[in-house]
Amino acid sequence: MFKIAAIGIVISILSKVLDEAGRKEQAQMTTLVGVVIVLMMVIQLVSQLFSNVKSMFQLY
Amino acid sequence: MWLKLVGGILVILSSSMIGFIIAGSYKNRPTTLRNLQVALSMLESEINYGHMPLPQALRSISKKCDKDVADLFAQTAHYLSSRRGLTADEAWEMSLKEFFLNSNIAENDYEILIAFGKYLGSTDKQDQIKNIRLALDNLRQQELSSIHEKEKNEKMWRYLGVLSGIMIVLLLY
Repeated sequence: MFKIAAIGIVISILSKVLDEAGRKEQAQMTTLVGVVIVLMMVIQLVSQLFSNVKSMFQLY
Repeated sequence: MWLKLVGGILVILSSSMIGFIIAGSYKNRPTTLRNLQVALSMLESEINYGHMPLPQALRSISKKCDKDVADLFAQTAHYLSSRRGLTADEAWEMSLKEFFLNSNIAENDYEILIAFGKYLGSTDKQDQIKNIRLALDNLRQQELSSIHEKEKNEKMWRYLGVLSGIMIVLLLY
């Protein structure tokens, strides 16, 4: 869980630094990449949540 | 647990060092360019006022000027006085190649210096001085643009190095 927060912070600093150095398009690109990475982690956690709920309620 | 920590610290340290080295090359280029200009104008006054042969003039300049460009002139003087039948142009080019590999000047500066070497020691005094002045003007322009580049790039590469190290550790942890 702390991975997600830490990656978020690092991506925001990276994006700010790249933006200030003038390379705006690369800043936006790395922000995008960071969002994709965080999304993949979140999807993993969400699927874990689903399987937990499924096994707890034994519904389907 | 321990080994993971040590490995992570190693990764962060090494990638921040890479970033620092790249930033350092941007930082050193204006200084080296300024030292080259000072040395070339010293050469100009040596040619204008002294009547020494070229290797001796180069040797005396290499003693007087700054450490990082002194090698270039000292090597040229060494190749010239080594009696291998090299022209001034060839000796200059050979020591310029070594200088280019060991310091932070860019492709453009290298070409300016090679063009300078083509006329070195082969025409009369006035032409030599004109040649030197041409090289000095070009180097001054390059210095201005390199200061501009340095301000854009130096901080960025330092941050990039450290932050990508942290990223890699976070992704692998």
